[in-house]
Amino acid sequence: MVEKGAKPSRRRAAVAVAIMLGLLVVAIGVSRLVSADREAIVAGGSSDTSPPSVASASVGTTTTAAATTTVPPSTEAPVATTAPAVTEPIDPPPVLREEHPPLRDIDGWLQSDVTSLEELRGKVVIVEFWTFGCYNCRNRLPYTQDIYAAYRDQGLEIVGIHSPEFAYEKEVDAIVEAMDRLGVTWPVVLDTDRRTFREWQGSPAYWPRTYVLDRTGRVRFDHIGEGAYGALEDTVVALLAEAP
Amino acid sequence: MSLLVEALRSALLPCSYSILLMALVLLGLRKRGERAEVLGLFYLGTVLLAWLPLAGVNLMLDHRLGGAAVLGAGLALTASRFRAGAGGAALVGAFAGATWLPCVGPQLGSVLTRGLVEPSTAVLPLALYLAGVMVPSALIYLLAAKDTGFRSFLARRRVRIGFQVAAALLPVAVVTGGYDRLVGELARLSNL
Repeated sequence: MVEKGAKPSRRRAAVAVAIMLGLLVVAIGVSRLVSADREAIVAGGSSDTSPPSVASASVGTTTTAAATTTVPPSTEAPVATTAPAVTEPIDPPPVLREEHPPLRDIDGWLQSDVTSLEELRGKVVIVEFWTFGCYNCRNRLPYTQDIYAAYRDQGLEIVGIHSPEFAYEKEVDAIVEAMDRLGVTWPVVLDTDRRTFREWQGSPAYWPRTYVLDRTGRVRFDHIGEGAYGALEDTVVALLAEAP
Repeated sequence: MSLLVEALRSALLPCSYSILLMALVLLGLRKRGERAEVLGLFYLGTVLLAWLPLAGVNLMLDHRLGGAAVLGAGLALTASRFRAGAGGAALVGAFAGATWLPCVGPQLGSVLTRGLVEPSTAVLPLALYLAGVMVPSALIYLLAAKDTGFRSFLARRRVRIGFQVAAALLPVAVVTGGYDRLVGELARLSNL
């Protein structure tokens, strides 16, 4: 019975694969049109100071972010553990969004003296979406710790937004224990229902995702996943050098 | 190449369990001669729906009801006796791709960051990455195709019924949140 069905099955498979490949080609064509539209929006919208919607914001964000953060990340040297002198940057990081999205329906802050991002105006802020069970988020932590140690005294703050992926990551006790174990010493926002996660990233959304806000709250860096540590440090150094 | 290596490493991590789980449920729903076709269609559906959101197309399959409907339809088609039923595996793959929350290592991170701007640049890297993620599934399918005890195990009537029951329960689990809890529990166990 199995052998009997094998040949038609191969033929059907070939047809199905051809259809799927056709769909892929169509989708690629659509995406090219979409990306052309997006580039037009970004190019024409640079003077727009109103907060963009999540969908268009993530487009604008990554258009330039890709250029600044997709350097080969895996071979980058670790962040310096002692702060180099902050100098005037040659190329200031581009403004990706004029205003960062709000913290939506959060459940509180851990180890923090502040309770909003607005209270951190005047500082350069790394906002990192993470969850303690996420393998790649844990891999980022040593670099984040190094950059925090190196630039904290110069006006850098880090805010980790803990957006749990699974139910066991939602328990506050487990989060506190993980922060202690993993050496997370910066303020952490509890985003239990992932509303802020969606508000900032739209769909698709990823762990980890790293943004950098300048002293006025504008988004100046965006990177998905591990890596881009050198680009992150360059951005922080450049933004610290900007006038408050 | 480094993207494939990263994918192979990721294949063993909790973030890939949802894809493995779907591939395993599909394994017992078609005859032996059609399993390669099933896995291939599942793969293509996964790639397509993992990539479409980067192009700004969100089919809302990550919502419980919509996802369960597509998943249920895909599993029912695959389990059916229709000749073209194996095409249902593409729908199951679509669900898997839409709900996939990848481990974003340095290589995939670069692909995704760039892909949000130029979606077309992400298609082939994503296809390659997902091929790596599906290596364990492919090995299991290969094992099921060889003349082994596993193949005869899968051919048992009770086992086939077991697969059908699992396929019927999966959409229900998606609607009720049980599926998320199951994948979460697997993740927790793997982090111990």
